[in-house]
Amino acid sequence: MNARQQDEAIVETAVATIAPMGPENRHTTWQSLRISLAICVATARSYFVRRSAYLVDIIRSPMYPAFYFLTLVLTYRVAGRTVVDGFETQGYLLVGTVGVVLWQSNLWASGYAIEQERYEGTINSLFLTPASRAAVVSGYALGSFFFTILPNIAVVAAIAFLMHLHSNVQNPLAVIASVVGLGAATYALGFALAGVFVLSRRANLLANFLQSPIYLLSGMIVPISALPYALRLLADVFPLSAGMTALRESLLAGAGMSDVAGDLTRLIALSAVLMVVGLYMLGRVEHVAKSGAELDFD
Amino acid sequence: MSQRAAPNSISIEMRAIQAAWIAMIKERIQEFGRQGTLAIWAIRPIFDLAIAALIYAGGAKDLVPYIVVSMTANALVWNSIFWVGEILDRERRKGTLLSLFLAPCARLSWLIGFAGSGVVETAAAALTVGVAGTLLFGVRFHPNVLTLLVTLPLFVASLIGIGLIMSGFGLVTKHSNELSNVVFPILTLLGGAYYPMAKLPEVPRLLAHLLPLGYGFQALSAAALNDASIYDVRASLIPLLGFAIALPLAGTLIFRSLERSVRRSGELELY
Repeated sequence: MNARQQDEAIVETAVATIAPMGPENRHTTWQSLRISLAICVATARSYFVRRSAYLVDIIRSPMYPAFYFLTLVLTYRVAGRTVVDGFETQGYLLVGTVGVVLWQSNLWASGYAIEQERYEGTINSLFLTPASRAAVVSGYALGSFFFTILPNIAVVAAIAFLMHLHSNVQNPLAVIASVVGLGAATYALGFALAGVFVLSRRANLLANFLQSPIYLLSGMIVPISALPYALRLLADVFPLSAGMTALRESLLAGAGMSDVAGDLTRLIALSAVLMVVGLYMLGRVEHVAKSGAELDFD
Repeated sequence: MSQRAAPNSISIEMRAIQAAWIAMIKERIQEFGRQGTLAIWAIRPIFDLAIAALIYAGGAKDLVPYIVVSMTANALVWNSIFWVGEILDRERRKGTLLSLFLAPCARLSWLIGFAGSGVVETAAAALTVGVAGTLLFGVRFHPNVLTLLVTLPLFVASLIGIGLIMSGFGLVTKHSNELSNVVFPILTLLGGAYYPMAKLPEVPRLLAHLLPLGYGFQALSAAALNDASIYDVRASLIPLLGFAIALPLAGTLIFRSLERSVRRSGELELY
């Protein structure tokens, strides 16, 4: 028996131990949820501890959106534009920065989750455990919520305070629903990409590549109306653009729930599609891993 | 018994630079050849250009040609921070850093050789942005070749200095990519890739004068777009010359000092 056959025998034994659970061993839905939640929280804790191990990582996290925001404020100022898409430029960009924060966070956390395991040499161990892969990916997103999103939002809020930005909130529920919807949509997009990244074996490259196109297609930095016609069509079916519109309308233009309901419905529907794609891609990764492909190699 | 003259130290170092450059460029070409990596890498900055151009399209359209040139040159800045600045940390992760330090040549020789191999993706990105600027935004170039030939080496020398400093600090922090992600947004804000330095409000403009980037972008854009002579861009070239001398020297000293302290503390291969 050569080394490869020995490895396969170990994997088969592990799978045989885990897979054929009889009715007496099968978890109820409630138990499965509890286990998934425990995995999610443990992964989030691990993510937070690892990320906060180095000072430079802690500093870096909130810096990018703040400096990017200031760069764009100066660019619009130099361009002589004080109003963008009917909103005050700084307000428009600040809401866009919230979108950037959510997208960046989910791209590099949930999107990068399985790739991170590969990078750290633990992907094969991960696929040998009976842990839900979706729970692991969600754990990364939860960890990123505390490590990246909360500090970033605090920085964005501080900038808004310092710049004396004015909001026009008529219905706080609409703002909350828009933020939650946008956060969920960015998570869904990251979730859909988690498997794609690993299978491509070019995760870092793809993640770097995807940042700016998503800014464009979602109207975070420049209005979708400024895009060429073909890109506008693409932006219309892109979930984050609906979330950005809903957030801007509810936070800056006093829109109520009924005003943003259409955008939120589109956001939820497209996010659900992305979640299904994500589950399918994670299944593909699992299939590839179990069929003997060495996912831990470049 | 015949004796061959021993090669002098300069020729050894030159050969070390050449060997390091060839070794790394082979690795890079192999890496970039897979799954369209180079194409994806080269296309990426077009979206940054598109964002800036769309902002200016609704206002000061006359600045679009400037940002096409500055974003093209920004590929060099990107390379100095994310490639040159991270070389040592990347070698550490590959487990080859200690062997490199044991090589019988100056550290700077192989570092310069490795740094030079970034020319592949830098040239690809710069070319793509330049071509995109011409095709998508109708920018027309009227280059003054002599001015470009003088400005570009000065700009690159300044960036090598910054790259060396980053490389040294990357060894100390042990997380050079994170460090790059701290530094690059600051350089983007103050460097003038998105706007000419002269158009900035007072405080950021004063801070921008402490960096070589704005001078480089100004001189390069004037030379590439308006056929500006060396005399025409002297106001940018003189400070850039100062940076081109001071930054590589400072980079060498800082790199040596940091590298020595990391070796003394025995942390060269530790994470």
